[in-house]
Amino acid sequence: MKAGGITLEGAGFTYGSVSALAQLAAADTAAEAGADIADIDLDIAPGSAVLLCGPSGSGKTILLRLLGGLAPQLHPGTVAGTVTVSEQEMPGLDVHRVVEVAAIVFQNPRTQFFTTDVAGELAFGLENQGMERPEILERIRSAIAVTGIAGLLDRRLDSLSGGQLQLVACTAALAQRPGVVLFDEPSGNLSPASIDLLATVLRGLKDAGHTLVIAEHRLAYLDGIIDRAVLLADGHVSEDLPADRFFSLTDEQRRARGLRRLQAPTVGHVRPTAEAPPAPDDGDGDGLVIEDLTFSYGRTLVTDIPHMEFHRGTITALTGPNGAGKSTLARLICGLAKQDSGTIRLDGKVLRPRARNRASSMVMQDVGRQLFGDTVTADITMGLSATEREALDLPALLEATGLTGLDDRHPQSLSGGQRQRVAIAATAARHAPICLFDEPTSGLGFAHLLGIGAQMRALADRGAVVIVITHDDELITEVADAVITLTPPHPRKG
Amino acid sequence: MSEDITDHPITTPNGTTAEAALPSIADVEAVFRSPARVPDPRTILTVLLIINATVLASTAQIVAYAALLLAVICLYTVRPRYGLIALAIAALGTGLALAGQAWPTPVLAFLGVIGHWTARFTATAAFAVYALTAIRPSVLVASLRAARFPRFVIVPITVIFRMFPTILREAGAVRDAMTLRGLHPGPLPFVAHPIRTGELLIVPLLSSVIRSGDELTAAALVRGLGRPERPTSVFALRFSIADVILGLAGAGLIVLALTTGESVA
Repeated sequence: MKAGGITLEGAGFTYGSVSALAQLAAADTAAEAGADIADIDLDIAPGSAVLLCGPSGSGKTILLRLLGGLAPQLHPGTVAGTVTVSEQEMPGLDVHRVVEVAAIVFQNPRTQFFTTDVAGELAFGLENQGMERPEILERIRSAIAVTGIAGLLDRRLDSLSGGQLQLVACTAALAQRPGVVLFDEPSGNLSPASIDLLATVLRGLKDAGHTLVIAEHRLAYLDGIIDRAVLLADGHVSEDLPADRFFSLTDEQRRARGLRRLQAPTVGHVRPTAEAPPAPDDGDGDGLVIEDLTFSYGRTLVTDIPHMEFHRGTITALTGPNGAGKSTLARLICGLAKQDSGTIRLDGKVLRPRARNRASSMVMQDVGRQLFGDTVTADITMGLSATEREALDLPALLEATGLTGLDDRHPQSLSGGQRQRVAIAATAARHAPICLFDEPTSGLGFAHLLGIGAQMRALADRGAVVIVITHDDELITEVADAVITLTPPHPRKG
Repeated sequence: MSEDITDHPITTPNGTTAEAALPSIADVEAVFRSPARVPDPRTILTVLLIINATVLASTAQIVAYAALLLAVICLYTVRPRYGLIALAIAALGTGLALAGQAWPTPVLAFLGVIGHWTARFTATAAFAVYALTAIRPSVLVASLRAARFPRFVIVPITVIFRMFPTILREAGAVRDAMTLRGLHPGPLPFVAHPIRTGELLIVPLLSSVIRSGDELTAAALVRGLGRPERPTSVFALRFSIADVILGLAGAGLIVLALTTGESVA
């Protein structure tokens, strides 16, 4: 089963199904995954590493689903041509037999585990195949030797960071000893430090002789890992480049192809920027000023900020390693959490948590959680006062956020990118002086990144304090005016 | 996201330096064994049944006290704080019950009845919390498989353990989003407009839980869930001294309930 070759001849996939209900479901997944694909010819040699890239909606995801046997079994549709993975014809293969051919590492580390602890998860796929105990133990041991996660073996999954979870997913994939490992945007939710580790593990998998197919938006970390880059556009293979030629595309060439940047920034992971200089008068400086802010969970001090400023009309990126307290600071700023001590002032006025609730709006990482209306219009105007509704120029707002024509759709029926824009429009409609974005670009392509950047700029130009929590150094370089790097607080006595 | 990944240094995975860090089979095996101080899930679930049955069926106060003592001790071994909280609640309930007996005014008698049942239910609740905390879902699945339970029993149990925390986390996030939109999900609006508030909470919650569920399903299926062969289980099941102690305590509770029950009858 080490074979690991992949052949596609005239392969294509069209979302849709004969039954009306399934058609509805398919339209939904199609909205998520983007365009159909057609006429794909690919020949991937055993042991090679291939990148699938291209703008959002170019067909990467569906191609990967086709290779992994998820389409058409779980995502109904029509297959054309042939798709062969490790000498196994994929379309029509029972989903539970995919485990014999390929392993898949998904984008979202929180939803790809079936058990609650690392050890159980590593054993899960092997137990399902009815494997004997000694063989399971040996396979787990040798998989750990490649990924180096021996230290995590006895941990619960909910105690791990996103990066650690992706390494566990890689280890579980490896323990299956598949010929082929497929990756669906594995770095989507990871911090730069975690991406470095993922890169190390990918290199290890490749050295161990596995065939790797990686669908990705973030590209720079794959330099030195992939042999070849397959570029997709509108559901077709537009270019097929060897790695050295791919990574020597100029900045203009990669932008023209809608790709994220190919080289990591030269100085560290983010622009080295000190905190904004202290305001000349700390009494009525405009914007958000934090003084001596502390917050603890139980006895663990998670936030300890002597002084920090976020100015109106400015996009400030809030970055730093996992565990630095970025999310907690965001919760404190918008009043979802109450500080133990210290003050948060807006334009010189001290705001208590309730007032901060009213002054803030947040575009969450998973925007599905914050869409409450039964139409796009209802959602955008929900919670506004009568006078605010009067003042709102809805058509202009829909136009600015690219939602024209969708005003009567149910927000939950839209694609991920559209849902996010509804949340942004609702934020803009509220005219909240503080706008927070939590990892808005995870798993998004270059065009979307620029689009979100433009939305943030529009909010800032109206005088809002725009704060974006992000690991995405490319977003930071493209849009941020200031960068604040949080570090975990030093525990203090007493 | 409790800690950064760099807390666990990763050896370079190119085989040369990894050799030194390669865990032995015994190391790996140890992970699939529960520590001896944790009883087997089957013992815990049996004693949970015993506590429920005796506390509800027996009229003797001594049985309730004994069950409570057992539950609090067990809970204390895994979550000391919860153990003390359970003890405090039970003490308050018992105090009210005794006060109601001593001074049977209408108000105190009423509170006394509530206190009496609070104290009794604290025993079952405390032991249920203990069971949820102490039972490792993987070990539970292994023991159910060993007992040859059919798949349609085992898979839903696994899903409950897996999805419950997810649902709670999503509900918390939806609540946050409601707060920021000025759709205050506090108790008052909920009482005033239960359907409206419920709808606001449920639609985003369902949508995000369903999305997670779809992803989870795909991940589980491509890893062979539902294959025709009988799944094996790598977790070693064994009865330890902890099972003997807990089992004897459970048996003692039955004996106590039967003997005191007879004397009452």
